[in-house]
Amino acid sequence: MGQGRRMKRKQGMPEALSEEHFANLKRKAGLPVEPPVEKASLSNKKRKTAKGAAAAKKPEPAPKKASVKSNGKPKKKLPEPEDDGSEDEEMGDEFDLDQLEGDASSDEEASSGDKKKKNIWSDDEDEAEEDDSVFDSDDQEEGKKGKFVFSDDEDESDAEEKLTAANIAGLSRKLDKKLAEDKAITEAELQESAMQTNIDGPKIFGEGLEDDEEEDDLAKKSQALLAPDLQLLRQRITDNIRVLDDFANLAEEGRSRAEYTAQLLKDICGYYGYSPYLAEKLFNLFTPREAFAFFEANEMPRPVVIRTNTLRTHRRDLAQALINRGVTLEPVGKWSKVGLQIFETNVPLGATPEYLAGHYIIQAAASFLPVMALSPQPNERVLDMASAPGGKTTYCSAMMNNTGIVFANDPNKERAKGLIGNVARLGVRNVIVCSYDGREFPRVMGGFDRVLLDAPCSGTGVISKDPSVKTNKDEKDFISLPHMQKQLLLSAIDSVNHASETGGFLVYSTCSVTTEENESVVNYALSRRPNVKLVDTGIPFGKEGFTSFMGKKFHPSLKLTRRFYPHAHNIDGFYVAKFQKIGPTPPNAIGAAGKKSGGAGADAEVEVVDRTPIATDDDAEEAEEKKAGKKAKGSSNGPSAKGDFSAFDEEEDVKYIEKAKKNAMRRRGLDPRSLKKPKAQEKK
Amino acid sequence: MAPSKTRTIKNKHAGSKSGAGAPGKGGPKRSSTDGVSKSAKSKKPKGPVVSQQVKEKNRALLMKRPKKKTYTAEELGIPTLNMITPVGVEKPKGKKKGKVFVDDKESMTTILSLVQAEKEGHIESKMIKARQMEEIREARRLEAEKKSAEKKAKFEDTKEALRKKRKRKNDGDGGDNLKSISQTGSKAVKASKKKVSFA
Amino acid sequence: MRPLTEEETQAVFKKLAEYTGASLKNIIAPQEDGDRNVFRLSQNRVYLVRLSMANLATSIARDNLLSLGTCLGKFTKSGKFRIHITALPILAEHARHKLWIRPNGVMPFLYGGNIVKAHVGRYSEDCPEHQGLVVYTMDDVPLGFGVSARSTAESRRLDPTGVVCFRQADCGEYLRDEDTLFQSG
Repeated sequence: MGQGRRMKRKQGMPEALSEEHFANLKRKAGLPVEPPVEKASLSNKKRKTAKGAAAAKKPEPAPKKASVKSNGKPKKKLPEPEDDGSEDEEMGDEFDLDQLEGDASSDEEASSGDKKKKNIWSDDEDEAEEDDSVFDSDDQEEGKKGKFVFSDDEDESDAEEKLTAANIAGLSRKLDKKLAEDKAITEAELQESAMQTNIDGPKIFGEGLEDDEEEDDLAKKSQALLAPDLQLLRQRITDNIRVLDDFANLAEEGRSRAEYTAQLLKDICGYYGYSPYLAEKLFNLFTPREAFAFFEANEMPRPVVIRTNTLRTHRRDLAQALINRGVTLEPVGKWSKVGLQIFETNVPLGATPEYLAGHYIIQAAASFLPVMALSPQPNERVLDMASAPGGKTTYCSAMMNNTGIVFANDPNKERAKGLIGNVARLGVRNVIVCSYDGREFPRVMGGFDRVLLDAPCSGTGVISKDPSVKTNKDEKDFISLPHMQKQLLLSAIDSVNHASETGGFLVYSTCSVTTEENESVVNYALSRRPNVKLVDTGIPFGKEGFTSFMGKKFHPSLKLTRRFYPHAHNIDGFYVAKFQKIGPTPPNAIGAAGKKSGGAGADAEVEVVDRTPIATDDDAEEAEEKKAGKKAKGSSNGPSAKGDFSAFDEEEDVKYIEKAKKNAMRRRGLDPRSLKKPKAQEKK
Repeated sequence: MAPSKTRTIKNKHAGSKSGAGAPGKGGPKRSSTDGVSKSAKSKKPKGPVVSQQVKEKNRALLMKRPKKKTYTAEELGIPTLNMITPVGVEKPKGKKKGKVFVDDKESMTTILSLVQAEKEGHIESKMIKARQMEEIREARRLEAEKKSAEKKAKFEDTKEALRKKRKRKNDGDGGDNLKSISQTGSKAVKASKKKVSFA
Repeated sequence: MRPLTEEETQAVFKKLAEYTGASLKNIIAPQEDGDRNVFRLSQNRVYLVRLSMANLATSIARDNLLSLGTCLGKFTKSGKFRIHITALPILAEHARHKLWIRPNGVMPFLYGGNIVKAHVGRYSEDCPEHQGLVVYTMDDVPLGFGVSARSTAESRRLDPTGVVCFRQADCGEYLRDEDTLFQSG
């Protein structure tokens, strides 16, 4: 009998990612065929990244050999080559994975990362202006990538598993060739830049590091088949963190903080298997110690949580029923009245009679939060812009007690199927499921009392669920995703009915922790839409959003937004911002009111150009006047923006009417000036 | 209504025609006279009535141009295959094109009550049938029980009879086993028969 | 999306009346807030939806509208109406004949099996043969629906392995048939 696709995936808890996992990976990838070639390529990469790091560092003399740390603690007795080799190998494997994921070009990008990053993080305003013109290729890229991460995703943990032994065989052949080429290049570079490489070997243990490249080569064969010494790597990570915590006292003389950080980052990449780019990005969000906790937490599975469907049952009854089936559970926390955390279960949670009868839905605790922040009320009209697989949509409906209307939109029709399934199973009757690109939305329908935008994101908050994020997200993703998120957020804002008696609220959330996808996007929206303001989310926990990050300033009200971290709250990494719309969107706002306003503006421009051949001074003046008037109008309805359509300005209208008449005459081939003459005479 | 029933076909035809010509006047008037004429005098009033009819007819004919007969497709015997509208599709004349939707509460309720009445009837009849079947089954069961009881009683009787006989035999033969008893019994009977015949 | 024609309405009602009693008229009765439920047909699927919702849904283009309100079932190509498990909440609310199954019979039913007598906990009196039934657990949770294999009286005499009810739809279809149950594009 065919089990459903979803059933299979929903069962039980995900297995913890243990160190054995990496050990296994190691053994698999470290097949005897590979090692020499791999080695070469990896030293190449290593040097490249190291170069990047070196560039970032202050120029510094080559460090001395320090056998004892400054705090007097005797250093670990480690034969250097072994240690180094093991680490290298570990990294090598991760890079392998990286390449298997199909991202061969990441090296080059990583090396030029600094430069590009400046572009990304450059002034918000500029970026915004460029928005439409520069990144237009987005759409194709989206099509190519296809898959984004949503906080609710229950079924995408197996990207890694797809790399079965079968395709590894095929891929490794391809890799072999590539690595051989790499090797040749490496050889050349090696000789050329031997001096430079000496600077940035792992220095914390001091000894014999100058020649690590060479030693690598020597030790290659002996190391190839040994398991990586993860214990040592971890030890070094914790040591480094300790030093960074109290840098003034614990640091070795002559070693800068940047050096320690670079070393730590490299170790983290090796130990947890992140791409260097992502590791750095995540590392920068936290203090070193917190970052370590974050990376650690990403290796642990989050607890399985179910949400009671209050349309069908009560939490107490559901808990009793499940306990009778041998499930160990507990309320998820004081903050939720509908969540149950599952500790242990003897039955598949996705196939119990209670599940099939729609008494609960398996939903990550984090995805309760945006709905709680939105708090939809009965009889409202609500829009969920990216709604599959429906956890949040059905939660909205349950909160509204099946009254009012929830529009559940998801651009992906395949995912929408699961959404419809959940909606039907949970007995939700007030949902209309549609499939538009969210950016089309104010034009499809507007006037919503509340809008929920759980935007597609990179998924850096749900790495424990989908570890492939560690390696398959690169700079391009962190440009294209925020761009789309900004567009979506503007459409979402424009879909809200500011005049709603009960609502006028919008919640923006992502399951990512990076600032590019969160604070930057919200900040952008605040700058583009003067008619919205941030309000308190109403969630009793979580950390405040950044108001400045890496030298970039955000609007001070961003501290009203909330960040959630796996290591701090034991839920997926998440971000929630709640807006209130206080006025209509000005028609001349960027990308606003559909593209209509943009179109109208363009038309006006065209008209002005058309007129030039027979324009007189008067006309030009008028055009100027008109522009100025428009500007004044735009700015006047900026903050309050209430009386935008409230009254007609007779004087201004006269001008427009006259102009229209002239245009009409010109179209008929008459001289528009003849219209003015009689008037002028009259006046005289 | 009785007189109208007695009218002849011809009369009726004429009446309808005249009705078409001058609606609401000729019909009832004439029908009453008709009735009278039929009951009392048969010939005399018929003449004027007929003439009147003719007059009316003529007037109608004058007013209306004689209608040309239009033939339907069937009457003309056109082969059905060679037509624009596919075979079997009949376009109702004078009806609006497209589907007629039912969206108002009243008609929906009507349909629902119709359907429910029908369903109710079905279920009712099903249940009646089931009840009847049940009765029949019950009767059969009773009959079968009775029969089996009779059979059993008969069997018991025979058994009793045999037992009695055997008892008698037992009295004579003394301690033999069951098989031998029956054998001897039968033999004895036969033997006795033979004896009887022989003797 | 469009309303149903008379014949279609009749087909839908006929199918619903198979399972429900006189209270079925409540589903189209006006509600206290002046709204009422109507039928809508979208890509062969029939939905029961509040009129106000149906009116708003007209803004959604046909190709983009995937579902609204409660899906009752779909019209087959031959014009028959086929009721889906998604109609269960409505049937359960107005059921005429009910069948309660014991805990040990729940999983076999949810995996798509017919109901044998051994699993029956309770059974509506007076149910004739081949009549629509709504199936509940012993604590009144609706699980699906089917047709009776025998009348109540007859099934009393049945042996424990005899089939009492033929399954037509069960909640397990949400897992088994997700791909076919719902409209895609």
